Amino acid sequence: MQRIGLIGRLTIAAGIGGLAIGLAGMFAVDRYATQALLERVEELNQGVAARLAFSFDDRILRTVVALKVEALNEDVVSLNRARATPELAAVLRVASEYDVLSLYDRTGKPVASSASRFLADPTTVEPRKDVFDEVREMGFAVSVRRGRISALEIAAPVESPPGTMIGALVAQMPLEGIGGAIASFRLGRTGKASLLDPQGRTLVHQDRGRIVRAQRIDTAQGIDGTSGSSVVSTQDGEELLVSVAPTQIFQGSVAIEQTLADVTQPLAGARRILILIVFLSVLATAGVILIAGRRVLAPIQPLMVAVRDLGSGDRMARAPNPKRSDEIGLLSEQFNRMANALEGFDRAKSEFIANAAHELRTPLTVVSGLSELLTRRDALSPKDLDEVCEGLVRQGARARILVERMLDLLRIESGHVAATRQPLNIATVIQRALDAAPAPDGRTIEIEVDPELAVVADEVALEQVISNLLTNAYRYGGSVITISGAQSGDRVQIMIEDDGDGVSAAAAKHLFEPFNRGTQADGIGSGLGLAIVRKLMASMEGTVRYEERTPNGARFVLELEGQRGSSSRG
Amino acid sequence: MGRVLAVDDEQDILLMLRVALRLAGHDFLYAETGEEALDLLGREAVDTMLLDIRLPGIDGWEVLQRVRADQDLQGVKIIMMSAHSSPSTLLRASELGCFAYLTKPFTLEQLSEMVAETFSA
Repeated sequence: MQRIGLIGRLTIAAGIGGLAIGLAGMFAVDRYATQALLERVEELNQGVAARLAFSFDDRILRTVVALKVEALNEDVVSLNRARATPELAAVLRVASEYDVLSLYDRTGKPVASSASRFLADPTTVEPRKDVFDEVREMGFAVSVRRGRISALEIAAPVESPPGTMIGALVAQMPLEGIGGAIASFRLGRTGKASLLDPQGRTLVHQDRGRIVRAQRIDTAQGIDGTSGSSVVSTQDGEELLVSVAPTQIFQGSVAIEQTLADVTQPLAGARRILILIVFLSVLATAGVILIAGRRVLAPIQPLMVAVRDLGSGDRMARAPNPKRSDEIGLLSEQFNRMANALEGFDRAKSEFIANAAHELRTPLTVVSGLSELLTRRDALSPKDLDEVCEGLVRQGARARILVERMLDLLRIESGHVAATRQPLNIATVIQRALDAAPAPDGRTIEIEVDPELAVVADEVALEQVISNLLTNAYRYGGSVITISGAQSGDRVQIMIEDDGDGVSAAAAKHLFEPFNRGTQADGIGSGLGLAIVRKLMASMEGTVRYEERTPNGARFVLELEGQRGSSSRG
Repeated sequence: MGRVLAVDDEQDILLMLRVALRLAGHDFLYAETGEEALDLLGREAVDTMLLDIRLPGIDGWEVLQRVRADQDLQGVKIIMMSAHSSPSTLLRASELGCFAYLTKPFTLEQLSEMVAETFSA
C-alpha cells in the first residue's frame, strides 16, 4: 500500500529539495554573498586591530618635545661635539619610554640617543640625511627593512628660535605586529593592504607579501577616516571594495582594497554549481515521475474503464483485481464497494417504488370499480348505493394516507426536516400522542411513567413516533396497551407494549422495512408506520427495537438521550 | 348466469365485486379467508371462484392447489386476483390450473368479461 506513496513522496521531496537548495543558493549569492564577504573583511580588520593591541601614547612625546625644547636649544648647537648635558639626558631618559629616541642635527647626524631608558652612544645610531627635510612638522613615518616594517617613527622638529629648525627628535618603536598583519592578508592579484596615518595618508602597503613604503604619500581612495567597508569607483571605472579598521597604536588605520571582480569571482563559481544542482534535481524529479507515473497509470486503466461504464449506466461495472495492496487496490476496492452500495440503493429505490405501486393498486381498483358502479346508480338499491359511496370515501382516504406516509418517509430520509434537540417531559409527549391517536373502544391504556422523566429529542418527531406505535398496537395488539419509561445512566427508554399475539420471528426481521404489513392488516395501514418510526428515531440519534413480550404480545423499546437531572426512577 | 364465490380479505373489494356481479345477474358468495372458502365450497355449489393470492392464514396458492386436488371441485373455474403480475406468477397460476388471472387494478368491464367467459367455456 505504501509503495507508490513512498515513490511519490520521495520524488516530490527530491524535487522540492533540489529546487529549494538551488533557488535559495542563487538567492543567497545574488543578495547576500557580497555582504557576507564584507563582513568577513570586517572580522579580519578587527582581528588586526586586536593584534595591534599595545599602546602608544604620543601625547607624552609631544609634551616632552614642547616643554623641553627650550632647554635643549642652548645645547643643541654644541651637540655635535659634546656629550649630552644633564638636562638633555633627563629628557632623553623620560622619552626613552619609547624604546629608541634619537636627536639629529640639521645634517641628519645623530647627536644624542637613548635606548631602554639609558643614554646610548649616538655613534651607534645611523645618520639620516633626509630627516631634516622629512620632519617639517610633528608626524609619523614607518621605516622598512627588507620588505618588513622595522619600526614606527614619530618625529618632531626642534626649533630655536621658534620657527627656525635646528634638528629633529625621532622616537622609534617596533612594529612587527602590524607589519605582519598587513603582510598576511591573502588579497589575490589586485588586492592591496595599507597602513594609514591619522590623516589617511598611506605610509606602507603590501606588495605580494612584502611591505613597501609608499612611493608618494597619497590619501588612499575612498578612505574618509571611519571604519567599515564600502565600494568605490576608481577613475579607471573599476569598482573597489575598500575596508578600513582602526589601529589602536597611533590613531592610524589599516585599509584593504580589492577589485570587486576579484571578490565576486569565487561566488560566480558557486552560482554555476547551484544552477547545476537545480538542473539535475529537475531532471531527476522528471525521471522519477515518469517511472512512477507508468507504474501508477498501468493498473489505473481498468479502473477508469469501470468508472466510465458505471457512469454510463452499467450497474454491474466493477474494477478488476482489487487484491492489490497498494493505493490502486484500495481505490478499486472502494470503487467496488461504492458500486455495490449504489446498486443496493438502486434496488431499494426500485423496491420502494414497486411496493408503493403495489399498495396503491387495491385502493385504485376499488375506487375505479366503485365509481364505475356509481354511473349505473339507477340500478343500485339505496343500501348498495350507500355502501358504494362509503367504500369510495374509505379507499380514497386510504390512497391519500398512503401517499402522505410515503412523502413523510422520503422527507425524513432526505433530511430536509432537521430534528431539533430539546428537553422534553415524556409524560407530556405521551399525552399529546394519545390526543392525536386516541384509543378505540375496548382498549385500555396504562401509563407507568415518572412525571419527572425527560429526554432530549424533537417534540413533533417523538410525538409522531409514539402515536405511530400506539396506532400499531390498536391495529395488531390486544386489549391492554402499556406505556412505561426508565432511565439508565444518560439514556432513557420508553416501552410501548401490548398483550396481543406479537410478531413472528421471521416477520420481526423485516419489521422496520417499508411496506411490511402484519398479516392481520385491516387494509387501512400504509405499511410505512414502523419505517417512519425508525427514520424519525435515527434523526434524533435514538434507536427503536422490537422485543417479544412474555407471555404474549409485542414490545417496542425507544431509546433516547436523557435530560440530565431527571429522575432515574422507571 | 351462475354462482360466483369471491375470496378476499379486503372488505371494499368484496363490496365492489358483490354489487357488480349481482348487477350482472350472478349469485354472489364471499369468503374472507382461505379456510372459509374451502369450507364454503364443501357446502355450496359454485361455478366460478375469484381468488385473491394474499390472504390471512392459508394463501390463494394453497387454496388453488387444494381445489384442483379435490375431485368433487373439478368444475369450479378459478380466476386469480392479485397486484402481482410478473411472468413467473402468471406461469405458475396457469400451471396450477387456474382459468384466468386478473391483475389489479382492473375495470369492471374486464371483470365481467372474464367471469362471463368462465360460463361459456
